[in-house]
Amino acid sequence: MAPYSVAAMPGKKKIPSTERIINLLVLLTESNVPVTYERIMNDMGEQYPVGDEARRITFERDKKVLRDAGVPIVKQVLGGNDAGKTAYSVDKSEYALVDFGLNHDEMSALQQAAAIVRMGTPWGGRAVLWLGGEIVDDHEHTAARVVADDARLPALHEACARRRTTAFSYHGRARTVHPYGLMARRGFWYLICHDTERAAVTRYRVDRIEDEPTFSGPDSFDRPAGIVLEDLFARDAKLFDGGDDEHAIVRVEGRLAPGVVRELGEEAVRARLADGSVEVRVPCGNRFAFRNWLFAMVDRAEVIAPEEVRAEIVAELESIAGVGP
Amino acid sequence: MSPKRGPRSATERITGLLEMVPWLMERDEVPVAEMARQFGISEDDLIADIEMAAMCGLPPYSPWELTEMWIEDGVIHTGPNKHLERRLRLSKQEAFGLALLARAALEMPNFKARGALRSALNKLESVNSASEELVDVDVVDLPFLAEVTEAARQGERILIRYWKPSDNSETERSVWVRGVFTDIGNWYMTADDEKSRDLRHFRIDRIRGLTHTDEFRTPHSGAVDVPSWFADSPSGTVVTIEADASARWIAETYPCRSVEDLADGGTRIVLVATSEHWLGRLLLRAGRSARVTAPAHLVGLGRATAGSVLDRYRAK
Repeated sequence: MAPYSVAAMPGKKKIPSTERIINLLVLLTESNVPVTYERIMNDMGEQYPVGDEARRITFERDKKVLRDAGVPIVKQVLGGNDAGKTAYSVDKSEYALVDFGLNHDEMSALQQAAAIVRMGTPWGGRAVLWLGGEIVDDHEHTAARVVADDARLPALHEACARRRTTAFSYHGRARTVHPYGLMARRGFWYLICHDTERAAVTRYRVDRIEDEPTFSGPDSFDRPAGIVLEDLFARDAKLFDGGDDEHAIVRVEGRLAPGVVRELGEEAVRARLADGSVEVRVPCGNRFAFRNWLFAMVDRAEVIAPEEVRAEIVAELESIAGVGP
Repeated sequence: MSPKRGPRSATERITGLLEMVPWLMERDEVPVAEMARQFGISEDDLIADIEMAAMCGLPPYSPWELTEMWIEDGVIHTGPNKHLERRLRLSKQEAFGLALLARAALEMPNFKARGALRSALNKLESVNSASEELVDVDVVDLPFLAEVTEAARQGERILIRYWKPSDNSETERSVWVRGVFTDIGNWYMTADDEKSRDLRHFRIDRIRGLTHTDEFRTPHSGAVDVPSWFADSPSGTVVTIEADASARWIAETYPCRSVEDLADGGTRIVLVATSEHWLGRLLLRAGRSARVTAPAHLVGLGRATAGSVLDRYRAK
């Protein structure tokens, strides 16, 4: 298709709005100075409707489309010979020619990452395209699915990066936090943050946030140096909410033992028995979390001590089973 | 990304063009089909967009003031006159996506381009908030993971000793591994299983032993297929559970076919159970807060499971 002039097209009175909007964008980006409304209408008048009001409404609509698409249109009132006139420009620092100097191997690594990580959204792939890369096929025989399709995640991530104080409702209460990072664990996303009311580092499950979070301006708090998100995340669910103040000894059958030892660490092992089972010392102060962990092993794990914890578990089992002692 | 149907809004078309044209300008020429695939757009829509963008430029819109793009023999070409090569700033979604995919790839024990990816991220530090340090994912290393992955790459048949939690037994399996993947904190392999003569998924943390056979076939080609679990499982049992408010976590934790709020604050949940063992474990964890109401033969499963655990305690 050879290029041809729109203006030269015989009998063409009205062009598609998309085409007009792109022409407006080109005019604003190619100009080295802000462009007044009058000049825009002078240069592009044939593309806009006849009549001042219709023109103004259409022009405002075009600007909105561009802004909605992410184009940073800046409006200013001029001085000098054009004093009082409104002019428009595009912030070129936000809409720019970009060269990050990525070499072939670096771009290839990003493309491979995009190929093997499945997010459930096109966000990662679009970032690679934005950097100039391509969506490639996976030749690694491996993949990681880390679903990240909650629409609030990108804004929370940006709040972490820009240190924006964040407010939201959680379990019916208003929370104000300094967000540090986002963690994916067993299919859920957690916001790791400092809760200003509780004056403590805590975490909130993102899918349980009950509204659209609101954000302050950037740099509204100091992020402590050297934060490692994993260290702030109570990885062991049994430690939640003071669960570390009481412990139980649990015997776990041999076939489950490797996974349990991997989860708790070798230091939790109190005994290794001849049949392959292990006895581990586990925090049990948070009974709900402890019980959940224990019962996930059904009849392959048993509380050995202390006697009162064992009795509690037996009573609970009797209650579920509908039998008396 | 799959091509969308129906008319596109002006914002949608403009956004798409502002993503696509700078990418195209860097390449000078790209087949229509390839570009449509990259951006998840239909070829017809792409051609319409490119033809439209080719008519845009600067006043007075003479040929040498227009953006130089044309399509010839199914290939999009660009000329030296470019007006739309600038890029919008990376959006919040894309910055998060970049950080996530980088972090997840770096955590993958078998990701080979780790050094180059780190180097790329160092260069991209200036890009918005695309820092992987703000994101952490639960991708972990496991015994046998490297060997299983290598078996997939090489196309080698392997013998595994595999633990089945449903009856607490181990079986020997002879498998051809197609690919490995991690999902919700667990690693799996997709393999052709000689025993069942079917394609099966095996959890890698349940492999108790692995033996190489030195028998090879052409490695499986194509992307690893990460399946949809439970909710779509054709082989499981459809179960209805009535849960009190305190057991609502069941609906929040597992894929469900339906979740219905009840007048008393509870929830009626319909999900697919892949085994009685799995369902019994779920009911035990929920305690008296959840009950199976259908099918009939599973109504007493929670009580029975608790009873079997009690037997262990009473055996002392």
